[in-house]
Amino acid sequence: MTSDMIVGIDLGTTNSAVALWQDGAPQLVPNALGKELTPSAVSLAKGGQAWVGEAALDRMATHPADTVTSFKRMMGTASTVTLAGTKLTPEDLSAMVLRSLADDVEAATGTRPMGAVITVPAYFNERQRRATRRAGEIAGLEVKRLINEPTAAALAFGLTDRGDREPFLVFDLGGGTFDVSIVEMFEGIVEVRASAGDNRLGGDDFDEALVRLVEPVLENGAALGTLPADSRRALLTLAAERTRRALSTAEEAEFNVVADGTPVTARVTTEDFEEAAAGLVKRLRDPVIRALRDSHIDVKALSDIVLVGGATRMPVVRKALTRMFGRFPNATVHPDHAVALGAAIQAGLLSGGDGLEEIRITDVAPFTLGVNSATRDAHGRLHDDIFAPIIERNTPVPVSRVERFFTLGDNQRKVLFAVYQGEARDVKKNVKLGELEVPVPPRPAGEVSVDVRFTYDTSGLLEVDVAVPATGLTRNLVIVDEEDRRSKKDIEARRKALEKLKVHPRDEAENVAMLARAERAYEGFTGPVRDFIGQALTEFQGALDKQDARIIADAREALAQLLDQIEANPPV
Amino acid sequence: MTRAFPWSRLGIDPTSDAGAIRKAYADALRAINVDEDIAGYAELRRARDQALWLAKQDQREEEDDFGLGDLDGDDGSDGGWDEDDWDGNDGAWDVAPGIQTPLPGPEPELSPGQLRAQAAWKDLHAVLYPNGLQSDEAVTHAELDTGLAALDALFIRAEEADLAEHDALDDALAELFARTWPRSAPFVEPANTAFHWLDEAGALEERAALRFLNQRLKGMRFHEKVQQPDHPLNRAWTELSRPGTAGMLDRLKVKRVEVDKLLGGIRTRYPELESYLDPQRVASWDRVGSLEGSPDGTGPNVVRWIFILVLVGSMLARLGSAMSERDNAGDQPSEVAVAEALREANFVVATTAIFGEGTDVAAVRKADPPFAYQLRLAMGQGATPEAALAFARNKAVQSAEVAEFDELVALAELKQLWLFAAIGSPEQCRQVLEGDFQSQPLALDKPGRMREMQLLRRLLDAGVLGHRGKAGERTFSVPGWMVDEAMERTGLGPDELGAALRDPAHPSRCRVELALRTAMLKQPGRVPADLLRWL
Repeated sequence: MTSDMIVGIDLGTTNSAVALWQDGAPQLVPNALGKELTPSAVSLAKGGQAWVGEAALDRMATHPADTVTSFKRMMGTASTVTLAGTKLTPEDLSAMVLRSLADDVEAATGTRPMGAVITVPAYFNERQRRATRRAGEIAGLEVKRLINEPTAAALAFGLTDRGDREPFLVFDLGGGTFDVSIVEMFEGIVEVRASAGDNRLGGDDFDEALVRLVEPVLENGAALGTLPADSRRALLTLAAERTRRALSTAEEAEFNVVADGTPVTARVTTEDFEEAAAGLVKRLRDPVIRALRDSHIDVKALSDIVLVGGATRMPVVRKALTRMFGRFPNATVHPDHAVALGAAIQAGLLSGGDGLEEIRITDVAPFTLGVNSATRDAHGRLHDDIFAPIIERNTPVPVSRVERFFTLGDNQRKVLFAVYQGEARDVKKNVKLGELEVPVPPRPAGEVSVDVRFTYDTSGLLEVDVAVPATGLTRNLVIVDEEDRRSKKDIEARRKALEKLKVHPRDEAENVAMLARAERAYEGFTGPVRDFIGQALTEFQGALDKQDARIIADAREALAQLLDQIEANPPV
Repeated sequence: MTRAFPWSRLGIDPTSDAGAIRKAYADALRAINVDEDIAGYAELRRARDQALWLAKQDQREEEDDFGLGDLDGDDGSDGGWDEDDWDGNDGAWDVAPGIQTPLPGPEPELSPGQLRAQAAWKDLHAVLYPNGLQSDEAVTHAELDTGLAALDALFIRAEEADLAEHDALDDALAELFARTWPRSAPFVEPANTAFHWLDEAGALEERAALRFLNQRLKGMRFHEKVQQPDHPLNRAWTELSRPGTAGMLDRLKVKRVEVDKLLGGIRTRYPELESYLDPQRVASWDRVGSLEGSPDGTGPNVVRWIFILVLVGSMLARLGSAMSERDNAGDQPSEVAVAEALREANFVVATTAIFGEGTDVAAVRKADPPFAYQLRLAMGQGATPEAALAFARNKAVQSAEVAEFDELVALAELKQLWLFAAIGSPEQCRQVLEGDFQSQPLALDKPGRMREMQLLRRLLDAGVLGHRGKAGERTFSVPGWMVDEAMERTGLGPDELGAALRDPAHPSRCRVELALRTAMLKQPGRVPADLLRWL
């Protein structure tokens, strides 16, 4: 493998995964623990010790204040979290997860990946996309493309047999975001017809509904009251997730937490949960309807309803879907793996992978982009802050559109454009992406024109060009986003700062290598020797979990000796 | 031979085979790098879409389409299906097209939810097509309730149904409302909230029925906005809404251009709004004006409305001082009564005075305990039967605050009875209007008294008599048809009538109020809710 290897990464709210295009197929890369999913969790301790993934999640219950999950929901916002005295942005946290995934790929292939395709929810806005791209850069990955999660899932689903497919609907309900895309496949073209979504709806919300449901009826609930608020919340959220999973297979489940040694429990039935989640289930409808309307596709013409995202495992969601579509959804793709696999297919496409020559993907812009504008009515009254769309939602991308605007005042000297994303006529109800100012020659009102060109690329990133024909002035303006102004140097500095954090020993090369060696040995033998190695491996993993450097070193030494011995004198 | 666009871009001969078009598109797409040739990609997409559309047209011609194609075709005009389109349809819509169900299939196996929806649909249909016929009449209050309840049931069904049924319901409602406009007017906004109809406004694929309804919705919203003082056309609107002919002074105060702009605008976009304006006033501007077109603003079905400000003097809580002090003691007994037996006797006297001979005291207590308690406290001082009746009448007035439609109608009838009895004395009339029945006993004739007992009993049974109302002055708009009716009954001219409505002390006030109530009781469902409650 060369160093221009591109990996596909599903950077999820709850779990992340990385995959590669290898030997004509996408393949997931397991992490140091041999698992395909790495929890999107980060934990820090004083002194710069850091945990990412499973280990961080394990610390959630004991160190809630120093551990964070679901930070994807904060992407694109100015909020930060402080863990053990270190202030981190959501980009930083995402970068730590990305770096750990890149480490896994390096461990598996011996090559450090330099490029990545990262998935984002289709309904992620411009800011959230830019933040994701920055996270990749901080992690030392060149983000070759951002691809929409449902599109990635559609690729993984549709490329299984390469056949033509009538339009199908991808229903992607993840931990924190919800997307719907309508996709068609013909002649090797994967065409996204429309996308819609709600980037504030996911499995987390169902957990919260469950917590609200059980909180008042908890037995020994008083024991919780003695805990600090953040521990209490962390315990309840973790328990809610467990209960929610249990309810996927049983009619009734126990909700239990242990507070200061006291077991706190409640019984929850599927019915109770369904009732508590009714409001959330309702919110699943609107995006589906909007996507169907925008694509002009009749619901009866859909060939499949493809489920993606861990939260679609919930019977309450499946039931609602069955009711909504009048048929059973298709659950053949792995809800947690499909997105990463699709990202790997896209990565393979970009690096000219074998067997992908015929495939092309076309996507759409899921929301409308435009600028603010003002207009005078017949009475000379100024109506300000009216949204002037330039790129309408569900336009195929890449796309480039230009609109001409005119000055409103006599001798106006400058024009201020604010760039917005959204569907409301009043710009205040839309998301402001940034603003830019252009000088214009002073002339009577309406005599000076300004051309505004929006170019929206396949990653869903926007470029704005402004030209004033009267003066010949042209400007290619990057959106004035404070975060975005940060130069390469700043990103480099941020990367250095994060690298100072000492990552959990699990991810230390030596241990990873030892684990890999032991696993190789395990695969190479059979019978009692295999069991013996397996036992030693488990013990070593147990030592790693203790997070004590000396114990780990001892255990590593012992394992190495054992393996040397066995390999030197192979039993027949 | 050179091929024309879109075939030239796709590199194939004209065909109606969608598969061939897609194949050509896929090959052309693979030949370009979309990121580097954005314009080329856009052109290719356009070529493909156009080719697919042409192919579909060909197919349609072959299949001899049944003329539906031009309904959703984009003719470029803003109005699309406008009111005229609906009316000019050889009266095809004048007869209800029978009860159609929007639900899929005639299969007998309908789920309980579908059955409920079907029943609701029938109810709504019946409201919109009274006696199975098209009607321009506004719905009555009861019909509105029935319709809204049915509509709610349909929304619930749409929420739980699968998307195909959801869309079918959405389409069917849009169709039904468009056909039954203007009778359907009060139902359109709720349906818009449920189905987001306005989101589709202006879109190419906007359904024909929605194009019509969305125009009306915008009209209703314009109507709301134009009444705000900061709206640019508000002055013109206010001017045109006033009754009578525009005088010299009016012409100086309001700009001609604004009036023209308003009239021109609503006539082209929201013709139904002109019915809110005063025809006389509009005609007077039209006559002198530079406005083109004939002043035929009042069509055959247009209801005439006139807006007048009314100050209704408060009709509340003028109780005898002894009584009101006792009354203020609260709803719950705070002390043990000493003369329990005496009070009980007084209570029987009081209920008889109010509700007639042989009234069951226990039943009165049960129907409205707070009222019974207040009455007992009031009667504890040994008040007369007259005082008891006055007390009950005042309580009836106070109940307006919480009364439902049926009780409000009963209350209006009570007030009509009282005003009729007091019509000879302006002084007493004023007292009645203020809710003061203590100062002078109000004597009703025998049938009037009988009716009053019944009506008071109805209020008691509804449990509203025990309510304590608050005093306050209120301002209202009176719809034109009531004003017309009042002018007819009182023989007053519009100016004098206006003056009487504005001034509670006006000598003709009593007659006018009586006439308004008589008009109101003829069609209570047509009366604006707040007017019905407070007049």
